[in-house]
Amino acid sequence: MYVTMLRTGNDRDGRWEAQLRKGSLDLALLAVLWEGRLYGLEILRRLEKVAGLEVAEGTLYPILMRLKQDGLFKSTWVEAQAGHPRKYYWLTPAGRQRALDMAKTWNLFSQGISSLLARVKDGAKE
Amino acid sequence: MTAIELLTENALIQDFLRRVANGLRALDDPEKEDILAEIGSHLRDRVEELRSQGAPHPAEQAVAGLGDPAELASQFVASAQQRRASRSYAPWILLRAGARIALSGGKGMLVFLVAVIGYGGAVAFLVGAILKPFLPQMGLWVGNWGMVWGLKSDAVSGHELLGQYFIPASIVLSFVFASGCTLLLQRLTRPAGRLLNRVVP
Repeated sequence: MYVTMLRTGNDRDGRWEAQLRKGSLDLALLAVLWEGRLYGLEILRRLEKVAGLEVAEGTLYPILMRLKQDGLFKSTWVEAQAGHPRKYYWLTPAGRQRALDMAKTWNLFSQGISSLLARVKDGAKE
Repeated sequence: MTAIELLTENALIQDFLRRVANGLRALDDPEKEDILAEIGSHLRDRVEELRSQGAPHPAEQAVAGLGDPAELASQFVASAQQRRASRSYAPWILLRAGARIALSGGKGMLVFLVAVIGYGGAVAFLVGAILKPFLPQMGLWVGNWGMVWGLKSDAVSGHELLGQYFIPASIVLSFVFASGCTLLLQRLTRPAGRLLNRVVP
Protein backbone atom coordinates (compact mmCIF):
# COMPACT_ATOMS: atom_id res chain seq x y z
CA MET A 1 0.00 0.00 0.00
CA TYR A 2 1.29 3.40 -0.95
CA VAL A 3 -0.12 5.43 1.93
CA THR A 4 -2.71 4.45 4.47
CA MET A 5 -4.89 6.40 6.82
CA LEU A 6 -7.90 5.75 8.95
CA ARG A 7 -10.76 4.46 6.81
CA THR A 8 -13.86 6.56 7.27
CA GLY A 9 -16.20 5.45 4.52
CA ASN A 10 -17.51 2.58 2.48
CA ASP A 11 -14.83 2.78 -0.22
CA ARG A 12 -14.53 -0.98 -0.13
CA ASP A 13 -11.61 -1.43 -2.48
CA GLY A 14 -9.89 1.70 -1.17
CA ARG A 15 -8.99 2.81 -4.70
CA TRP A 16 -10.41 6.30 -4.41
CA GLU A 17 -8.76 6.89 -1.04
CA ALA A 18 -5.46 5.55 -2.36
CA GLN A 19 -5.56 7.94 -5.34
CA LEU A 20 -6.44 10.84 -3.07
CA ARG A 21 -3.55 10.12 -0.74
CA LYS A 22 -1.15 9.50 -3.58
CA GLY A 23 -2.04 12.85 -5.13
CA SER A 24 -1.54 14.73 -1.89
CA LEU A 25 1.71 13.09 -0.80
CA ASP A 26 3.99 15.66 -2.46
CA LEU A 27 2.15 18.45 -0.66
CA ALA A 28 2.32 16.53 2.63
CA LEU A 29 6.10 16.14 2.26
CA LEU A 30 6.57 19.80 1.38
CA ALA A 31 4.43 20.79 4.37
CA VAL A 32 6.17 18.49 6.83
CA LEU A 33 9.52 20.08 5.99
CA TRP A 34 8.17 23.63 6.21
CA GLU A 35 9.46 24.20 9.72
CA GLY A 36 12.90 22.69 9.36
CA ARG A 37 15.07 19.83 8.30
CA LEU A 38 14.19 16.21 9.03
CA TYR A 39 15.57 12.78 8.11
CA GLY A 40 13.59 9.87 6.61
CA LEU A 41 12.19 8.18 9.69
CA GLU A 42 11.42 11.55 11.31
CA ILE A 43 9.43 12.52 8.21
CA LEU A 44 7.43 9.28 8.40
CA ARG A 45 6.69 9.70 12.09
CA ARG A 46 5.78 13.39 11.72
CA LEU A 47 3.33 12.59 8.90
CA GLU A 48 1.82 9.88 11.04
CA LYS A 49 1.54 11.99 14.18
CA VAL A 50 0.33 15.26 12.68
CA ALA A 51 -1.75 14.09 9.71
CA GLY A 52 -2.52 10.44 10.42
CA LEU A 53 -0.72 9.51 7.19
CA GLU A 54 1.13 6.22 7.15
CA VAL A 55 3.49 6.27 4.18
CA ALA A 56 5.07 2.97 3.20
CA GLU A 57 8.76 3.14 4.07
CA GLY A 58 9.84 1.83 0.68
CA THR A 59 7.79 4.52 -1.03
CA LEU A 60 9.22 7.49 0.83
CA TYR A 61 12.84 7.47 -0.32
CA PRO A 62 12.30 7.37 -4.10
CA ILE A 63 9.84 10.26 -3.70
CA LEU A 64 12.34 12.25 -1.64
CA MET A 65 14.88 11.60 -4.41
CA ARG A 66 12.45 12.82 -7.06
CA LEU A 67 11.54 15.99 -5.18
CA LYS A 68 15.22 16.67 -4.66
CA GLN A 69 15.82 16.21 -8.39
CA ASP A 70 13.00 18.67 -9.02
CA GLY A 71 14.96 21.22 -6.98
CA LEU A 72 12.34 21.39 -4.22
CA PHE A 73 14.51 19.74 -1.52
CA LYS A 74 18.14 19.77 -0.57
CA SER A 75 19.84 17.20 1.59
CA THR A 76 23.01 16.64 3.56
CA TRP A 77 24.53 13.87 5.63
CA VAL A 78 24.88 14.70 9.32
CA GLU A 79 27.15 12.70 11.61
CA ALA A 80 25.37 11.97 14.88
CA GLN A 81 27.31 12.30 18.12
CA ALA A 82 26.14 8.81 19.01
CA GLY A 83 24.90 6.36 16.43
CA HIS A 84 25.05 6.52 12.65
CA PRO A 85 24.95 9.35 10.10
CA ARG A 86 21.57 10.47 8.84
CA LYS A 87 20.52 12.21 5.66
CA TYR A 88 18.54 15.36 6.42
CA TYR A 89 16.21 17.09 3.98
CA TRP A 90 15.01 20.67 3.89
CA LEU A 91 13.07 22.92 1.52
CA THR A 92 14.81 25.07 -1.07
CA PRO A 93 13.31 28.51 -1.88
CA ALA A 94 11.66 26.83 -4.90
CA GLY A 95 10.29 24.16 -2.54
CA ARG A 96 8.85 26.80 -0.21
CA GLN A 97 7.21 28.56 -3.14
CA ARG A 98 5.85 25.26 -4.42
CA ALA A 99 4.45 24.48 -0.95
CA LEU A 100 2.70 27.87 -0.87
CA ASP A 101 1.26 27.41 -4.36
CA MET A 102 0.07 23.88 -3.65
CA ALA A 103 -1.43 24.90 -0.29
CA LYS A 104 -3.36 27.67 -2.01
CA THR A 105 -4.68 25.29 -4.66
CA TRP A 106 -5.50 22.68 -2.03
CA ASN A 107 -7.45 25.20 0.10
CA LEU A 108 -9.47 26.45 -2.87
CA PHE A 109 -10.24 22.89 -3.95
CA SER A 110 -11.09 21.82 -0.44
CA GLN A 111 -13.44 24.78 0.08
CA GLY A 112 -15.23 23.99 -3.18
CA ILE A 113 -15.67 20.34 -2.31
CA SER A 114 -16.78 21.24 1.22
CA SER A 115 -19.50 23.47 -0.23
CA LEU A 116 -20.71 20.57 -2.35
CA LEU A 117 -20.54 18.18 0.59
CA ALA A 118 -22.65 20.54 2.69
CA ARG A 119 -25.44 20.04 0.14
CA VAL A 120 -24.95 16.30 0.22
CA LYS A 121 -25.28 16.43 4.00
CA ASP A 122 -28.43 18.58 3.77
CA GLY A 123 -29.86 16.16 1.24
CA ALA A 124 -29.32 13.27 3.61
CA LYS A 125 -31.55 14.97 6.17
CA GLU A 126 -34.45 15.28 3.74
CA MET B 1 21.64 -8.24 23.24
CA THR B 2 24.19 -10.93 22.44
CA ALA B 3 27.03 -10.70 19.94
CA ILE B 4 25.38 -13.43 17.84
CA GLU B 5 22.11 -11.51 17.69
CA LEU B 6 24.01 -8.39 16.64
CA LEU B 7 25.82 -10.31 13.91
CA THR B 8 22.54 -11.78 12.67
CA GLU B 9 20.96 -8.34 12.53
CA ASN B 10 23.89 -6.92 10.60
CA ALA B 11 23.83 -9.87 8.21
CA LEU B 12 20.11 -9.32 7.53
CA ILE B 13 20.66 -5.64 6.82
CA GLN B 14 23.71 -6.27 4.65
CA ASP B 15 21.85 -8.93 2.68
CA PHE B 16 18.96 -6.54 2.04
CA LEU B 17 21.35 -3.78 0.96
CA ARG B 18 23.16 -6.19 -1.35
CA ARG B 19 19.89 -7.08 -3.04
CA VAL B 20 18.97 -3.40 -3.43
CA ALA B 21 22.46 -2.77 -4.86
CA ASN B 22 21.87 -5.50 -7.48
CA GLY B 23 18.90 -3.54 -8.75
CA LEU B 24 20.81 -0.25 -8.83
CA ARG B 25 23.48 -1.35 -11.33
CA ALA B 26 22.19 1.12 -13.92
CA LEU B 27 23.12 4.05 -11.67
CA ASP B 28 26.45 5.82 -11.19
CA ASP B 29 28.53 4.67 -8.22
CA PRO B 30 28.16 7.88 -6.12
CA GLU B 31 24.39 7.87 -6.65
CA LYS B 32 24.15 4.18 -5.79
CA GLU B 33 26.30 4.56 -2.68
CA ASP B 34 24.20 7.50 -1.48
CA ILE B 35 20.97 5.51 -1.86
CA LEU B 36 22.41 2.47 -0.09
CA ALA B 37 23.78 4.63 2.74
CA GLU B 38 20.35 6.20 3.22
CA ILE B 39 18.53 2.85 3.20
CA GLY B 40 21.12 1.47 5.63
CA SER B 41 20.69 4.47 7.90
CA HIS B 42 16.91 4.04 7.78
CA LEU B 43 17.20 0.35 8.68
CA ARG B 44 19.41 1.13 11.68
CA ASP B 45 16.92 3.79 12.83
CA ARG B 46 14.05 1.34 12.48
CA VAL B 47 15.89 -1.42 14.34
CA GLU B 48 16.56 0.97 17.24
CA GLU B 49 12.94 2.11 17.22
CA LEU B 50 11.54 -1.43 17.11
CA ARG B 51 13.92 -2.61 19.81
CA SER B 52 12.82 0.23 22.09
CA GLN B 53 9.23 -0.93 21.50
CA GLY B 54 10.17 -4.46 22.58
CA ALA B 55 9.81 -6.06 19.14
CA PRO B 56 11.06 -9.68 19.17
CA HIS B 57 12.88 -9.53 15.79
CA PRO B 58 13.61 -5.87 15.06
CA ALA B 59 15.97 -6.40 12.09
CA GLU B 60 13.57 -8.77 10.33
CA GLN B 61 10.69 -6.38 10.83
CA ALA B 62 12.76 -3.38 9.71
CA VAL B 63 13.79 -5.12 6.50
CA ALA B 64 10.24 -6.30 5.83
CA GLY B 65 9.01 -2.71 6.23
CA LEU B 66 10.90 -1.64 3.11
CA GLY B 67 9.24 -4.30 0.98
CA ASP B 68 10.82 -6.09 -1.98
CA PRO B 69 14.42 -4.86 -2.49
CA ALA B 70 14.21 -5.24 -6.29
CA GLU B 71 11.04 -3.16 -6.42
CA LEU B 72 12.59 -0.51 -4.18
CA ALA B 73 15.65 -0.35 -6.43
CA SER B 74 13.52 -0.10 -9.58
CA GLN B 75 11.75 2.97 -8.21
CA PHE B 76 15.09 4.71 -7.65
CA VAL B 77 16.31 3.70 -11.12
CA ALA B 78 13.11 4.97 -12.75
CA SER B 79 13.56 8.37 -11.08
CA ALA B 80 17.24 8.60 -12.00
CA GLN B 81 16.74 7.55 -15.63
CA GLN B 82 13.90 9.99 -16.05
CA ARG B 83 16.09 12.85 -14.80
CA ARG B 84 19.00 11.73 -16.98
CA ALA B 85 16.76 11.56 -20.06
CA SER B 86 15.36 15.02 -19.43
CA ARG B 87 18.91 16.41 -19.68
CA SER B 88 20.31 14.15 -22.36
CA TYR B 89 20.64 14.50 -26.13
CA ALA B 90 21.57 10.82 -26.59
CA PRO B 91 18.82 8.92 -28.44
CA TRP B 92 19.60 5.60 -26.69
CA ILE B 93 19.18 7.21 -23.23
CA LEU B 94 15.96 8.90 -24.32
CA LEU B 95 14.68 5.66 -25.87
CA ARG B 96 15.54 3.66 -22.76
CA ALA B 97 13.68 6.15 -20.57
CA GLY B 98 10.84 6.11 -23.09
CA ALA B 99 10.65 2.32 -22.94
CA ARG B 100 10.46 2.41 -19.16
CA ILE B 101 7.82 5.13 -19.29
CA ALA B 102 5.86 3.13 -21.86
CA LEU B 103 5.26 0.50 -19.19
CA SER B 104 3.58 3.08 -16.94
CA GLY B 105 0.36 3.40 -18.94
CA GLY B 106 -1.39 4.49 -22.12
CA LYS B 107 0.07 7.99 -22.27
CA GLY B 108 3.52 6.58 -21.64
CA MET B 109 3.05 4.19 -24.54
CA LEU B 110 2.12 7.13 -26.78
CA VAL B 111 5.37 8.86 -25.79
CA PHE B 112 7.34 5.76 -26.70
CA LEU B 113 5.62 5.48 -30.09
CA VAL B 114 6.43 9.12 -30.81
CA ALA B 115 10.07 8.35 -29.98
CA VAL B 116 10.20 5.33 -32.25
CA ILE B 117 8.48 7.15 -35.15
CA GLY B 118 10.66 10.25 -34.68
CA TYR B 119 14.00 8.45 -34.65
CA GLY B 120 12.78 5.91 -37.22
CA GLY B 121 11.89 8.76 -39.60
CA ALA B 122 15.29 10.39 -39.03
CA VAL B 123 17.10 7.15 -39.87
CA ALA B 124 14.92 6.55 -42.95
CA PHE B 125 15.65 10.02 -44.40
CA LEU B 126 19.36 9.60 -43.72
CA VAL B 127 19.43 6.19 -45.40
CA GLY B 128 17.63 7.72 -48.41
CA ALA B 129 20.28 10.46 -48.68
CA ILE B 130 23.13 7.90 -48.50
CA LEU B 131 21.57 5.59 -51.11
CA LYS B 132 20.70 8.33 -53.64
CA PRO B 133 24.12 8.28 -55.44
CA PHE B 134 23.77 4.51 -55.97
CA LEU B 135 20.03 4.37 -56.70
CA PRO B 136 19.00 7.05 -59.20
CA GLN B 137 15.35 6.05 -58.85
CA MET B 138 15.47 7.34 -55.25
CA GLY B 139 13.68 10.69 -55.02
CA LEU B 140 10.48 12.62 -54.39
CA TRP B 141 8.09 11.13 -56.91
CA VAL B 142 4.68 12.48 -57.82
CA GLY B 143 2.06 11.08 -60.10
CA ASN B 144 -1.68 10.72 -60.38
CA TRP B 145 -1.37 8.00 -57.70
CA GLY B 146 0.04 10.42 -55.07
CA MET B 147 3.50 11.19 -53.73
CA VAL B 148 6.40 8.98 -52.61
CA TRP B 149 9.61 9.94 -50.81
CA GLY B 150 11.98 7.09 -51.69
CA LEU B 151 11.95 4.42 -54.35
CA LYS B 152 9.23 4.46 -56.99
CA SER B 153 8.05 1.22 -58.52
CA ASP B 154 8.84 0.97 -62.22
CA ALA B 155 5.33 -0.26 -62.81
CA VAL B 156 3.78 3.17 -62.22
CA SER B 157 4.34 6.45 -63.98
CA GLY B 158 5.39 9.71 -62.40
CA HIS B 159 8.15 12.26 -62.28
CA GLU B 160 10.81 13.19 -59.76
CA LEU B 161 10.78 16.71 -58.29
CA LEU B 162 14.05 17.23 -56.42
CA GLY B 163 16.86 15.74 -58.52
CA GLN B 164 20.20 16.10 -56.73
CA TYR B 165 18.52 18.34 -54.13
CA PHE B 166 17.05 15.10 -52.78
CA ILE B 167 20.23 14.51 -50.72
CA PRO B 168 20.35 17.86 -48.84
CA ALA B 169 16.55 17.80 -48.42
CA SER B 170 16.74 14.30 -46.89
CA ILE B 171 19.57 15.33 -44.56
CA VAL B 172 17.62 18.39 -43.42
CA LEU B 173 14.48 16.30 -42.81
CA SER B 174 16.53 13.70 -40.93
CA PHE B 175 17.92 16.44 -38.69
CA VAL B 176 14.46 17.93 -38.15
CA PHE B 177 12.99 14.55 -37.17
CA ALA B 178 15.89 13.66 -34.83
CA SER B 179 16.16 17.04 -33.10
CA GLY B 180 12.37 17.49 -32.88
CA CYS B 181 12.00 14.02 -31.37
CA THR B 182 14.86 14.65 -28.92
CA LEU B 183 13.38 17.95 -27.73
CA LEU B 184 9.93 16.38 -27.40
CA LEU B 185 11.27 13.44 -25.40
CA GLN B 186 13.31 15.71 -23.14
CA ARG B 187 10.19 17.72 -22.46
CA LEU B 188 8.04 14.67 -21.83
CA THR B 189 10.56 12.97 -19.55
CA ARG B 190 11.12 16.12 -17.49
CA PRO B 191 10.03 15.68 -13.84
CA ALA B 192 7.44 18.43 -14.26
CA GLY B 193 5.61 16.06 -16.63
CA ARG B 194 3.93 14.31 -13.74
CA LEU B 195 2.08 11.86 -15.95
CA LEU B 196 5.40 10.21 -16.64
CA ASN B 197 6.34 9.62 -13.05
CA ARG B 198 6.08 5.96 -12.37
CA VAL B 199 4.36 5.57 -9.03
CA VAL B 200 4.13 2.05 -7.84
CA PRO B 201 1.59 1.15 -5.15
